[in-house]
Amino acid sequence: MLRPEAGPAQGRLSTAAHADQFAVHGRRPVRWLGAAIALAPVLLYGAIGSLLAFVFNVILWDSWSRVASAYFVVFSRDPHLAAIGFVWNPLPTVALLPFMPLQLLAPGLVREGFAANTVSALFMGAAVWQLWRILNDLNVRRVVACTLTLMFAVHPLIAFFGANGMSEAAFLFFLLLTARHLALWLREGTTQALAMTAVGLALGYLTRQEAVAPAAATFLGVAAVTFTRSSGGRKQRLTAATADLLVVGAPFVFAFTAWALASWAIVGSPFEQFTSAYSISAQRSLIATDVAYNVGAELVHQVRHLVQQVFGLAPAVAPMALVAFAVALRRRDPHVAAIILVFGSVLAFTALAFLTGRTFGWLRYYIAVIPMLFVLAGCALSQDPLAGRRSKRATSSRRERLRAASRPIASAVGTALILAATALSIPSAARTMLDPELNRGDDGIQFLSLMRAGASEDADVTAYDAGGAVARYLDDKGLPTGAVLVDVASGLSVVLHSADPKQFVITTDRDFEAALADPVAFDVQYLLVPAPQGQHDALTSEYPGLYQNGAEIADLEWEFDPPGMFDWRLFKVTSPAAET
Amino acid sequence: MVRLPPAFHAERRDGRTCRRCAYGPARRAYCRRCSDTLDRGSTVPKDSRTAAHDRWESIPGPRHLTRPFVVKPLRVPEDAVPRELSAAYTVTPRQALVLRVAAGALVIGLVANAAATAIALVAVATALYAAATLFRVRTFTLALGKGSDIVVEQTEALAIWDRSLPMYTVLVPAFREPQVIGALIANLDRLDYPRDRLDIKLLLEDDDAETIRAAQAAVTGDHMELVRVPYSEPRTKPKALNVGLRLARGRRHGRGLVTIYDAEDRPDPLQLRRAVAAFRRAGTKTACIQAKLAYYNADQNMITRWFTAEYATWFSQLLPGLVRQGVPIPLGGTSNHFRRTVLEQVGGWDPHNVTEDADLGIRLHRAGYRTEVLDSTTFEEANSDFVNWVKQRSRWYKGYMQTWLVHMRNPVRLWRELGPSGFVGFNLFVGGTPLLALLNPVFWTLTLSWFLHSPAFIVALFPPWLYYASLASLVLGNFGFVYMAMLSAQMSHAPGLVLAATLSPVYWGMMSIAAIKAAIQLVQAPSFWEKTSHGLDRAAGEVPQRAET
Repeated sequence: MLRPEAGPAQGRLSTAAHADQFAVHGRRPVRWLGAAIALAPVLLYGAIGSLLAFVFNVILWDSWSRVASAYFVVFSRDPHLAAIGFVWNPLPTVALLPFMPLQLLAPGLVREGFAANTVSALFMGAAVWQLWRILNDLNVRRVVACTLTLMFAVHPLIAFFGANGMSEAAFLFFLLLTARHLALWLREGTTQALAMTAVGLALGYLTRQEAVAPAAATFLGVAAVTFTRSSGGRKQRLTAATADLLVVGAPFVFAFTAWALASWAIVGSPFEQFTSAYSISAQRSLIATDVAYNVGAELVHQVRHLVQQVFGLAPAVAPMALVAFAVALRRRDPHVAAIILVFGSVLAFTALAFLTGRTFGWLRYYIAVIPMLFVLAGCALSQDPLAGRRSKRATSSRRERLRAASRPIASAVGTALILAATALSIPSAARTMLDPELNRGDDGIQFLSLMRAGASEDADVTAYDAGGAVARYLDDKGLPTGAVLVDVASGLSVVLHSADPKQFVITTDRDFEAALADPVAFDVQYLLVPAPQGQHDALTSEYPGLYQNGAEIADLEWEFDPPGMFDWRLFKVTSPAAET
Repeated sequence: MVRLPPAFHAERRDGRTCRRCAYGPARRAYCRRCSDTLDRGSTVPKDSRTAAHDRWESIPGPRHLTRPFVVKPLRVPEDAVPRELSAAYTVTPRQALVLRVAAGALVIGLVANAAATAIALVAVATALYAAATLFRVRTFTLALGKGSDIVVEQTEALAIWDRSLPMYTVLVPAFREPQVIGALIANLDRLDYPRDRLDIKLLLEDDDAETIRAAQAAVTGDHMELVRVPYSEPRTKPKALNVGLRLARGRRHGRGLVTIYDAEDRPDPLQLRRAVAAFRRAGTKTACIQAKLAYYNADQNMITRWFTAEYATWFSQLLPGLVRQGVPIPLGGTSNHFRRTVLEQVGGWDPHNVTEDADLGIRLHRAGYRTEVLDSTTFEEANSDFVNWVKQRSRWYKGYMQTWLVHMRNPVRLWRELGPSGFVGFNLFVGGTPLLALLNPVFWTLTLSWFLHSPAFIVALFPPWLYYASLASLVLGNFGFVYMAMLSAQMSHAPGLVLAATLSPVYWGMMSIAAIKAAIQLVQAPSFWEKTSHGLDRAAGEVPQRAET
């Protein structure tokens, strides 16, 4: 509470003096270096991204799907913001919206999915920059910090996900932002740092639902730390802990609630990312089959798979954590706690979800281990701000002088060892990424394995081409608005390729359900159905057997069935659905 | 004053106290509190004023008083504020014309194409709402960085050589408050400033016999003076302040400083010294230093908690943020410190403006002077009663509207004097504060009724582009305001207020009631306006039993 007698000025004075005396001030960032470090990775990832999109014609399904969602918001028959969909958390899609008007100038930007690559390049560049800032906060020697940042930026997994348009880049950025400010808060206790932690968690949640884990861990940690380190009686400490908890929790709770409310108001269920037929969580049986086929049904296989993936990506992460922890204990620097809390909780959450059969065993889910390794290396290499003062102390005995003389050598050897252990992650991760055994069923990384093997039968590539062919066929017919009913979960390539996206009635349209129930009344002439491959399709589940025989409401008009490609069948609606 | 040899000072370090007032420990040659010399052999009796009095009798100045220190000017000085910047009249003929034309256009639009006009109206409201919100968030975040307010450490404030301190005039207007006079004088006595340079003026209305009697009984030294302000219209706080300013001691064009405290204020004892240091550091272009205001009764009830959290945002974040952007800052009611010469140059306070402090801040900026914020707190009493709070707040909103109208009489000149960012900032802050309070309930009602039963008119009012824009600015803006209040409460080391801040939407409801009251008075009965300001001579910290005439 405010205490007029004591006077706030005196209070401020003592805390300021305290901070000056004890705060471990990080290195001041050099401005041009910071700008270069923020900009260069963006250019690098942008270049790799354009190679992927325009030269190799590779589009990862998830990133393409986000581009499609953003596209539907602006260009569909029923343009409305809710078309961004509720299966995925919205931020990566919303970040794509500003690029959509460019479709009118350069159609390739959207059709080839390059908008997503641009966004991920920007986010991954920001993530690299955050790592740089953390290393500066940690007081890592500038040359070492530059080396670590460079290694991180060219790390194959980081570079690939910076370039390929997936949401991992944004998620990593927010995780690093959160970890950095949480560490600053642990160190200096400023409300600003706590607020930035809170904002990072909220935006992280709007990017990926895994952010629930670091959020929960952070809330518990903040409340516990404040309770133990604030002064006063039990009640005052409880008040202080509550206040800090509210400050760090409010934005997350707001984001969580706002997103749930929006989902509830628009699609009728607050947690569409868990309950939707399209969501990963709803596909338990599919996951079980997939995991059993690709990894093994036994828990032992799954654990081995997990360990191989995580330590394949970052072989030195466990010893690095130990070293960082030891250094932190010696310095009384709580930085490392924040890092382990934020990244460790994400990894633990994903691993647990995989082992309990709630998600796939994909390599990219463990991408958080890379920034964790690099920040831990930073903790291990951070310089003691008092070291210079200590070494100046007069040394008396011969033994002590010898030790003082050998200290730079020991420090150089230690630095080299830690840098080498960190750098080991680069070849090891590359090998893990290209190991087909560890990446079976992962659309994203499989591409790399296939490319190495010289194969071109990537599912996404074929879906892309198939979509183009179907779209051309439909465009040639010159159909009126709303003539073709299609589920865009698999049909997005068709809609994206079409010159006239308004001819489709798509899943995100507000009248889709009604049109699906009664196609004739809504002047729907055609139903476009993909070959069933285990994924959910609204048309097939409404009319079972539609793909095989038209389900008595439609006749097969045209079949797109090229060898080795994604199959499509176009049905012409014949009789009113009500009669069937 | 006797300068004692160094050896004497060394001996004094053990914490000797002043024999007269028991203030200590003292390291100086004389007591800081009663400016009596701390001579070891001094045996000044406790009730005597002669030592100090004799000293300042010798200071030249236009003050001669008979005991007990009462001054009564023969007449109230003329308004010194230029008429084109005075709120003696509300709108100029040109402004009235513009308003009539706008109203006419609105009526014609509604008749011709009601839907389109309504949509345009909603769009304009949304744009203004979003702009005012964004400006506030930006102002807030700017102030989070270091160095947006002046921090004077205790040691620096105490190290100023007393004889280099300027004459400090402290104006304390009070009206029908005999019961707080004792506490007031005790609080003023706590100010750490040499008494021969302190000129405290209690500004009391001539017919307020009770308060005058109480003050006469309580006055503790020759540095205090009672001023009986003769009756004249308008009977407001700024008029009393102008009277006090005319009587300020010290040379007319000297380095003298002026400040204002309300009767129930508890200023930081070092505030005057800190302000002197801040003026020295800030340079001659800085004519005003605003100290921070906070409340000592934050824990009394929910209203005072909200009020305290709001004040923390206002003084610790928003005002320093405005300073950083070079936007004129509306001053708070008390604890603003002025260079006396500048204050006289711009004409003092506008006696017709209900928030003369806000208006003065803008006028100083227009005259080319800066205002800075000082990290030193004055504690006031928060208004804890709902009805009273609404009255006080509606007066503030009315004053803000009045100030906005006064300064927008000639927008081109204002733009030239404030510059683009100052102009935009003035409109979004001084105009935006009552505007946000007015628009908030409208948007909330629309949103709630849309969620409850989606009436057709709302669907018609909000085409998709507008719908998303207003929903985003409402939801994000409101969350932003709640979060800013929480952060301010936390940063002012008052964790108990953070929880109250999460409930601040209820407080905004109260603000909206006050804003509607203020707007109705402004639109329907501008003449009633003058009447309300009657007797309400003090803007902040009104005491409940005050009669409103």
